[in-house]
Amino acid sequence: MAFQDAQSTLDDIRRLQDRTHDELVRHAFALPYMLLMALGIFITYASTDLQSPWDDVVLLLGTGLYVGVIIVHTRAKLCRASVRPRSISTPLEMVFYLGWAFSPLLAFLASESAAEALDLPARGTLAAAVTAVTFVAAMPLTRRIAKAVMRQKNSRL
Amino acid sequence: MDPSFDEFLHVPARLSIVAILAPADWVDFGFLRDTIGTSDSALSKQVSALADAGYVSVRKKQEKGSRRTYVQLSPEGRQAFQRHAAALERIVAAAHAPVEQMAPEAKAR
Repeated sequence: MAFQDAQSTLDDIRRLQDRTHDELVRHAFALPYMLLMALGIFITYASTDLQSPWDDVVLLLGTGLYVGVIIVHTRAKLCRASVRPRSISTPLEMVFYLGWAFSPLLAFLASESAAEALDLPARGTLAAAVTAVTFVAAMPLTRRIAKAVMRQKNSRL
Repeated sequence: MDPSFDEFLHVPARLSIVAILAPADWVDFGFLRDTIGTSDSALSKQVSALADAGYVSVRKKQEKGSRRTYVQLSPEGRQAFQRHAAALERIVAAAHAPVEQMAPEAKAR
């Protein structure tokens, strides 16, 4: 076999695998679910501004929405998606998903500190809004990183 | 020819199916068809050949009144694909090797 043919075949393999990666990422970070998760994040963190017992009630509502969306989305990924993901198997993948899961908390703490430094009112609500907007605004970057992580995972397939 | 080179798998339609399946768990038949750009019957023929060789598993599922077919790469299929891709990489590397070896000499001149 000529090396040009081998190279062309390898290029085709990578192109087709990228189509699978695109579909996996498109479904994993589908905008409707991400918007609902952002709403859950906003409600959860905005609860820090409320008085007892409303802070606990709103915290439960926000967390319930966030976790509920994750459960429904995971079920959709595993049962209805046209391309179903393989289980998480690499340390890099684990680090990415853990980092992504905890990034809203870090964004909230940073925003709240900034709001406190600027002596702004309703710091919790303000920081929660910044966190939720950042979560959605960072989605294109998140998708790119997720695709790169998938590529790395499947580089030796 | 490299012993890992799989003539059966090197058929473009079969290799395309396996390449799409490799990064995923189960893949919908419709997604495979649309991504490769082929017909239902042509894809079905190649999927059956791959299933007969033990390279893929096929599952039919009833979902909301419609019947959907899913295809999955088997462990044997994954190994065969890995071996075949490695054989292709070796062919490319072998072609580039003399050029890379000559490069330092050319620099010295």
